[in-house]
This record gives sequence, C-alpha cells and structure tokens, in this order.
Amino acid sequence: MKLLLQAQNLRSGYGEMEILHGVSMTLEEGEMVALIGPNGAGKSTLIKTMFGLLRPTEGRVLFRDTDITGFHPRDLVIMGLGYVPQTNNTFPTLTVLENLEMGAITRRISPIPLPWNRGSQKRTQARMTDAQIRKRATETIELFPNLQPKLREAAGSLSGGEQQMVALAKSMMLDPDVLLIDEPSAGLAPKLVDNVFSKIVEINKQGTGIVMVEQNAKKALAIAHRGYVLETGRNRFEGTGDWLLHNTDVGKLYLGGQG
Amino acid sequence: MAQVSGSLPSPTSRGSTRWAALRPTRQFRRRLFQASIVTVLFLAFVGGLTVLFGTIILQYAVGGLVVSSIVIVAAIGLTVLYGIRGFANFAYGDLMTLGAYLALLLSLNGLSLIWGAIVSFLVLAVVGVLLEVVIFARLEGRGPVPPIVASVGVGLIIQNGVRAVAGTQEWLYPVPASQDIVLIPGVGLHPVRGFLTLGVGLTLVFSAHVLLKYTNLGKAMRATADNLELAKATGIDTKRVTYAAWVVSCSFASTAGVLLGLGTALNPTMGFDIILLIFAAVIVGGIGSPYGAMLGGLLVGLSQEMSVPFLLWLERPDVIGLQFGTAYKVAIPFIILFVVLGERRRSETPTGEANGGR
Amino acid sequence: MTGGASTHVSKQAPVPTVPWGGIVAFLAIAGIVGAGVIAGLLAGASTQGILTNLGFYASIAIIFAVLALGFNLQWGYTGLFNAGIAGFYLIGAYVAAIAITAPSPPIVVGGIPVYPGHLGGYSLPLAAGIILAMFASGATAAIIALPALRLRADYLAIATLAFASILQIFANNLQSVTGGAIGITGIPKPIAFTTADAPFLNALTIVGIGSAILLLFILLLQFMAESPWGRVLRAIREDEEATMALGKNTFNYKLQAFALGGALMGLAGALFAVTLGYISPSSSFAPSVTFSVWVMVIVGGSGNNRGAIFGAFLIYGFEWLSVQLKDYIPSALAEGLPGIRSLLIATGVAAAVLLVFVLFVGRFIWPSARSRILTTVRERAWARSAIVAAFVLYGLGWVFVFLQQYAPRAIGDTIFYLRLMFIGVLLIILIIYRPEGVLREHKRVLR
Repeated sequence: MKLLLQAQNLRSGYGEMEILHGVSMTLEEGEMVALIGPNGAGKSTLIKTMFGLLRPTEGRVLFRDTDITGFHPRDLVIMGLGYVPQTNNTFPTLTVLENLEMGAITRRISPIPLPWNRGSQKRTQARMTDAQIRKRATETIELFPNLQPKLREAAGSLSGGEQQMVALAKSMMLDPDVLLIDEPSAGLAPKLVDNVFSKIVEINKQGTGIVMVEQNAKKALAIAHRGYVLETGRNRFEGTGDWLLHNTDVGKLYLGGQG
Repeated sequence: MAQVSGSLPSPTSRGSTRWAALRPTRQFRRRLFQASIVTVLFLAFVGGLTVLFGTIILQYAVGGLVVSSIVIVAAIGLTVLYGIRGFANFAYGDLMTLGAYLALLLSLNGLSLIWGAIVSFLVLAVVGVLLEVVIFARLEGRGPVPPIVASVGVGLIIQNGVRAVAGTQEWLYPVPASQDIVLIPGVGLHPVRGFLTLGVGLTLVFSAHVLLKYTNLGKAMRATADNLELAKATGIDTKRVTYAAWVVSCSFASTAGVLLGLGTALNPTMGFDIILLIFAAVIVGGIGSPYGAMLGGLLVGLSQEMSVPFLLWLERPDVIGLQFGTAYKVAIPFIILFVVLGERRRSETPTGEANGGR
Repeated sequence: MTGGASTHVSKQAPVPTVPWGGIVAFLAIAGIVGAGVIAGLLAGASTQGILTNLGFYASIAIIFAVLALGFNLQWGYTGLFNAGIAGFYLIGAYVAAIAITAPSPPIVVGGIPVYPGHLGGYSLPLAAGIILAMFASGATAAIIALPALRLRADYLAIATLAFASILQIFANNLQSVTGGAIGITGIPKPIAFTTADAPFLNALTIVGIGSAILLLFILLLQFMAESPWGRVLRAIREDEEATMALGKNTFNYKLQAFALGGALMGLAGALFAVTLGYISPSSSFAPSVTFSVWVMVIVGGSGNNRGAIFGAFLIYGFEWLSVQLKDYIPSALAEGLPGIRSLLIATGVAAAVLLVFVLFVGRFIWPSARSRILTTVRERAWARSAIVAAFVLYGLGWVFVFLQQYAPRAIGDTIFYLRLMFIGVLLIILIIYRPEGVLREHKRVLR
C-alpha cells in the first residue's frame, strides 16, 4: 500500500490558542481512518489544518510525496483532496444541482480566454466544460437516489440528512483521492446516521481514501479500517478499528458513555 | 482509482431525472402562489385607491415604478457586495453620486450622455476594484464595523470632493425636452425620465438575473454570499468573486446614479440622501439576496411615491393640517425598515454574527 | 501608565515608560490653540476677543467631548455601533431649547408668515432643560434600540442612521414644533449679562458650566467603567455569548448602555443650544457630526474616556482652526504660488525618479542592493506607502495650485469640504493602521 496522506508532528490552533501539540497520522490508499476522542481533543482542528484552513506553526502535511503544508484549500481541491465540514456544509440558497456544480468549479474551463483564467488552467490536468460538469453531476447523484427528485430545490430547504448527502455528493464531484469528513453524524437522527455511514462506506469502496472525525466512536470504528484516538491535542492510541473497539483502555475512556 | 462514472445509468432513469429536473418544484410553486397573492392584493389596493382618489393614484403608481427601478438597480448592487463582503457599504450612495457626476462631466465635454453613462459604468467598476485592493481587503476578518467606518470615510471623500470640484449647485443632464407620453388619460410618462429609466432598470435587473443564475461566476458569487468558509473549502476562487462583486456593485451604482440624476437633478448629496432608501430595500429583501432586493426595491419605491396622495390628504386643514406633508414621503421607507427590523429580531439569534460577522 | 503592560511582557523589547501619547496629545492641542491665537493677533483682534474666540473653541470642543463620551460608552465599552449620534444630539438641543426659551409666537409681516413660531416657550431654568433633554434623548435611544439591539452591528448602524435622518426631516418640516428651517432663536444664556463685555463673560460661563459637567461625567463614567456594571459591558463587547452563559441578561445591559450614551448625547445637544443661543436643523445636526465623533473616538482609542476627550479637542480644533485660517490661507497661497509650483515640480520629479529607480532600475544595477535595503515586509510596505503618499501629496498640491490660479476664491470656499474630506481620509487611515487609537493606552484592538 502507498501512503496517500501524512500529517507529521502538527502543531496548530486558532490564533494564539494552540490546540494540536504535535499530532501525526497517516492514510493509505483506499483506506478509511476514523479520528476519535473527547470534545476539544483537536480532531476537527487536525483535518482543518491538513486541508489548509488553519496554518500549522510546526510540522508538515504530505500528500503522496508533495509537501502541501500551508497550501490554499483551492489548490488542494485541484490536487485531489476533498473536505466536508461539520455544519453549514451546503450552500442553502443554491439548488442541489448548483451545489454539485460548485463542487467541480476548480476544473471548469472558462469560455472567455481572459488573462486571469490562464494561470489556473496550467495547474490542472482535466478541464471540464459546463456540459461535462452537468453530466458528471447527474452521474454523481446516482449514488444518492433520494436526492434525484430534488435536484432543482434549494439545498437549504432539504432535511438535515439530505443536506449531508448533498455535501457528500458535492465533494464527490471531482472524484477526490482523499476525502476529509468532519462529523458526518452531527445533528442527525440515529437511523439517518446509518444511512450516511453506509454512503461513506460505499464511497470508500470505490477507492477514495477517507479521514473521518466522529463523536460516535463505536459506529465510526466499526466501519473504519484504522482509527486514531486523540486527547488534548496529542496522539493517544492508534490501531485497527477492531482493536480499538475492543481495547479496554479506549473503551473505558471514550466508548463507555456512547451509543 | 475510483470510477464513479463506471456505474452506468440506465436510459429510463436518465429520462426520469431529466424530467424531474424540469418539473417545477414544490418550493417554486409555493413562491409563485405567494407572488400571485401579493400581486392581486396590490392591484386591488391600487384599484381601491383609484376609486377613492381618482386616476391620479395611477400616476403616482407609475412614478413609483420609475423610482423603484432606480432603487432596485442600486439595491442589487449593494446587496451583492453586502452578501459577499459581509459589510454595509455606506459609501454606496456617494459612489452613485460619483457615477452621475462622471457621466455629467463627460456629457459636458462632448460625449453624448449615453456614452458618458457607459464610460462612467466602466470607470466605477475599476474604482470598485481599487477600493477593495487599497482599503477593504485590509479590513477583512475584523467584523462589520471597521469596514463601515472606512466606507463612511470613502463616502465623505467622494461627496466633498464632488462639492469642491463641481460646487454645491444643482446640475442638469442635457435631456431633450419632450412631452409626456400619455398612457391613459391623466396618466403620462416622460420618454426619457420614465420609459428610458424603466427600460435601463429592467435591462440591468435582467442581466443581473442571467449573471447570477446562468453563469458559473454568478453561481459562485451566490455560493460565496451563502457561506464564505465553505466556498473557500470548495475551491471557489473567493478573491476573484470578491472583485467581481465590487465590479457589479460599483458599476450598478454608476448607472443607478445616472438614472437618479436623470429623474431630478444632480447635487453632491443626491446619493447620500437615497442611501437609506436602498438599505431599506436591501434589508426588507434580506441581506445578500439579489432577488429579495428586487422585491424590496419595488416595495420601498412604490410605497414612497404612493404615500404622496395620502400625505396630501393629511395636509388638508379639515384633516390634521400637516405642514409640508409630502416632505415626509421619504420617511415612509424608514417606517417599513423599522417594522422589518422588529420582525427580523425574532428570526435572528441575539448575536447573529454567523453570516459574515467576524 | 504602562505599568500594567510591562508585567508579563518578556519576549518584546522593553516598553518605553515615556507617555508619548499624552505628550503628543498635549502638544497637538497646544499647537491648535497657539495657531488660533496667532491668527487672531494677525487679524488684529483684542485680547478679550481672542479669549472669547478661544472660549468658543473650548465650549464646542467640550460639547463634542460629551458626544464622544456617549459614543464611547456605546461603542468603546459595549460594542454598540451608533450611526445616528446627530439624531440624539438634535433631540437634546430641541428639547432643551423648547423648554428654556421664552414664548415666541409666529411672526407675520404683511400677511406673509416670516416665522412660524415653535412649540413651548416654557422659560424653564437651564438645569431643568438639561435634565429634560437627557431624559428625552435617553428614552428615544432605548426605544430605537429595542428592535435593533438584538441584531448585528450593521443593522444597528443602519437603523440609527435612518432614525437621525428622519429626525432631520421632522425638524425641517414640523414647523409648529421646531420652527422649521429657521429653527429656534433667542435661547437664553445661563446668566444674562448686560455689560459691554457680555460675549466674553458668556463664553466664560459656558466654558465653566461645560467643564464642570464634563468633569462630573468623566469621573462618573470612569467609576462606572470600573464597577461590576462596566465589566459586564466590556465582557459583552468581547464575547456576548459567553457573557450570556454566565447568566447575565446582556440585552438589559446593552439597553442601559445605549440609553445612557443617548442621554449623554442629549446633554451635549442641550449645551449646544445654550452655547449658540439658536438652533436650526441645517449643518449643526448633519450626519457629518456623527462621522466627526467617530473620528474623535477612534483617534483617542475606543474604550478610553480620556482619549475620547482628547480626540474631541483635537478634531474640533482642526475645524475651528480651518475657520480661523479660512481667509489667510488663500492669500498666503496666492503669494507663494511660484515657489509652491517649483517645489511641486521638484517633488514630483524626485518621486517619479525614485519610483522608477525602485521598480525597474535598481534591481538591474545592484541586484543585491534592493534585497539589502528593503528586506522585511514592513520595510517594503513603508517604502510603498511613502511613494503613494508622495504622489497623493503631489496631486493634491497641483489641485490647489490650479484652483488658486483659475478660481482664486474657491479654496477659501472649499475649506469646509476639504476638512470633511480630511476627516474621511483620517477615518480610513486610522481604522486600517491604528484601530487602537493614537493614545494607545488600551491594548485591545477594536472589532
């Protein structure tokens, strides 16, 4: 297996407040990794830092063999990373179809050859026309059959579970190599959580590596290949999903109260 | 590597998808229904007033439409910027003034007014980008107040610069004199001040609609207005979107200013005097929503003009004998604004800084 | 003064203990007063005339200081951004004027109404007028705040600006109450002097009353700011949700601060009415008053009462000085025109050469020199700003020269507008580069 994504000794946080005090993790091709831990452990901070939304003060992030530390999210999207935030992860006034189209905006060919359109064209391999993007959207939506009748409705008018699906579909538009998902189960009813998780497994089966932050540790570890347990901004445990699920220390610390 | 495209859709499901996409959605039907109710109510209101006051009310309604078309153009420009940059541009009225005076300057120097307006449209677009680069980009992420303060500074500079250069007197555009075109007896509209204004306004509204709904730039603008953080994480080039917002905003300001000057006369505070009307339209329609701004502009413009007969009625000694009653027509939109603000209080959280706050 | 800051500063360079901000403030105001005195001497005014003039400066500056204190309480302490200062000021002025003037019936000359009269004429004592004015403004502030206070800062700004502009419309048109465009005249002075030096004595009493009130309120505000109440206000400004989580009813606190700030603005209005002796809805209550007060508070540093007062004296000082020098500047400019022109040409050429050199030539001649001179980002930013400033000054200089040449009277006439442009420039520059104010006593950056 090849290493896809690597975080090495990341220190990061919001402004003056450091939340990660040197965290490392790896993701191999086609793997699904769950990040679990109590509130404030820095799980979300870790994937935000990897996705360039926060700038680390120390440490490196590697994507394949490229050092992507401090890259702008836009460049990371072009390189093949995707990110699904925890809340507010759709554009509420845009329709579902438009949301999906936005997911592919980095690959779009501008029909007008303006000087500022040239630079970005160089960086990417496959550019798509509007028709191709639309075709890709209808293909992507087939993964999510319950969204099909709602393509033209504003994303903000959908239910929480449907919005989560839109967010996943949007990030799948470019078929990323790595998908970083922040708490897909946040604010969803238990039945919907299973639904979302099965979609995530499906996406992973198609070959996309997934890093998932989850409060619901039991369910996350059940579907993940491997897991990392963070505590107060440091690595605490790591291992396969099964091992972590059945580890008594982990269980005592984090799994007891849940699910 | 993942191959989602490999899972082929069957022709039938394709067809149903396409059909589903064309079918009007529940939401759309509901909106259509609401809009038709509002229209019917409005027409009934105007009809009732016409019975009460005579056809003069129709004249005011038509005048209100003309004012509305100016307000709508300005409100779209303001709300696009408000949504994407997250601050209220208090210099917007003065940018309108600047656009109007630029067109005047050019039309006094040999260009026709139309070309003057077009050049002013383009110049203001550049001015907008410069404002972002020189001033407002430095204030990003500092909350809504510092950009407001800076925009007031910009407004003061423009307004008083215009005063210093062009003087405080009123200027008139070289509009050919012509009779009003009579629509129905007693109701007329000036070909330039009325029809041209309405036409330009409608054209701009339509082009804004096309931009926002059918181009990727417009969709990206709406997405950025919805959620800046997500837009960045999605890979939208938010910097470019910001510049585009300034271009749209300021060029619309220029045209709105020219139309405003066309309707009455140019003076250095013409834009500042109307800025609150535009804010009222923007807030009534919901900040950052261009379609809301269109509706809000219509409401504000019509209510301002159509309050005139009512105020004239109040002026009659046998009613309450209000002095200078018609001067209060500019206060009507503010009353709407306060009502809407009171209403919005319920829907927003106490520290509703979520959309574009800090 | 800086003792608090130096306790836990370890990495930074030692903080100088010299209160530079205070020294600069003192020198600036002394300079303004000095320039005003010199202008008066040049014009050949008597000592008493100059002192009266200075008294006028001091009394209006005190009024602005009270306005600035009110705005500082609202914004600096609580974070409520008020764009309708002029409106509360107007209410205070009109309420006080209506309360304390003698009755003034409408005047009709030959069937033409010359003056519509105004409401009131109750001839109440000054103190009653001031209290009524404060109460009216405070109550209005509370009413305005009710719908807008729960909303974001920009809604509040728009709502208050709208309110101020509605008030101006009413003041202009509701003749039977406000006297219309003419306004209210004949507002009695605190003490009626009949001697020849009445203007001087009037100025003296006004300054006396004004400074007493200012002193009282600055002590009161300082006390309140340090009280638990003031701490809650600052907590609201820093993080409203956290404050709410502590069980404080933040809305009530905000309402109180806003109403109290409004009452202070009403007080300023009452003082203004008494100082001038007449009020009219024209420029005294224009939105530019609001913007000037913003500059005053930003210059002084928001959340800093002494700074607000310094800002008021400084910024109003510029306005006052511009009026004093209004007649002098154009003639001085006319005399020095050839000299200024050659100076401008020299500056322009020098700036252009420097720019070309920095941009194009330098890097070819000494590839390493540029990196040696302009190494840090800050240095480069300074260089860029300096070049831009040179060009702006150059352009402005030429504007003056052309104005002087082709419209000799224009500069004198436009000084008022130029002052407002200057306030605009100041607003932008301060909010970008010095949001914490010139005095820099508080380390907080405003948001």
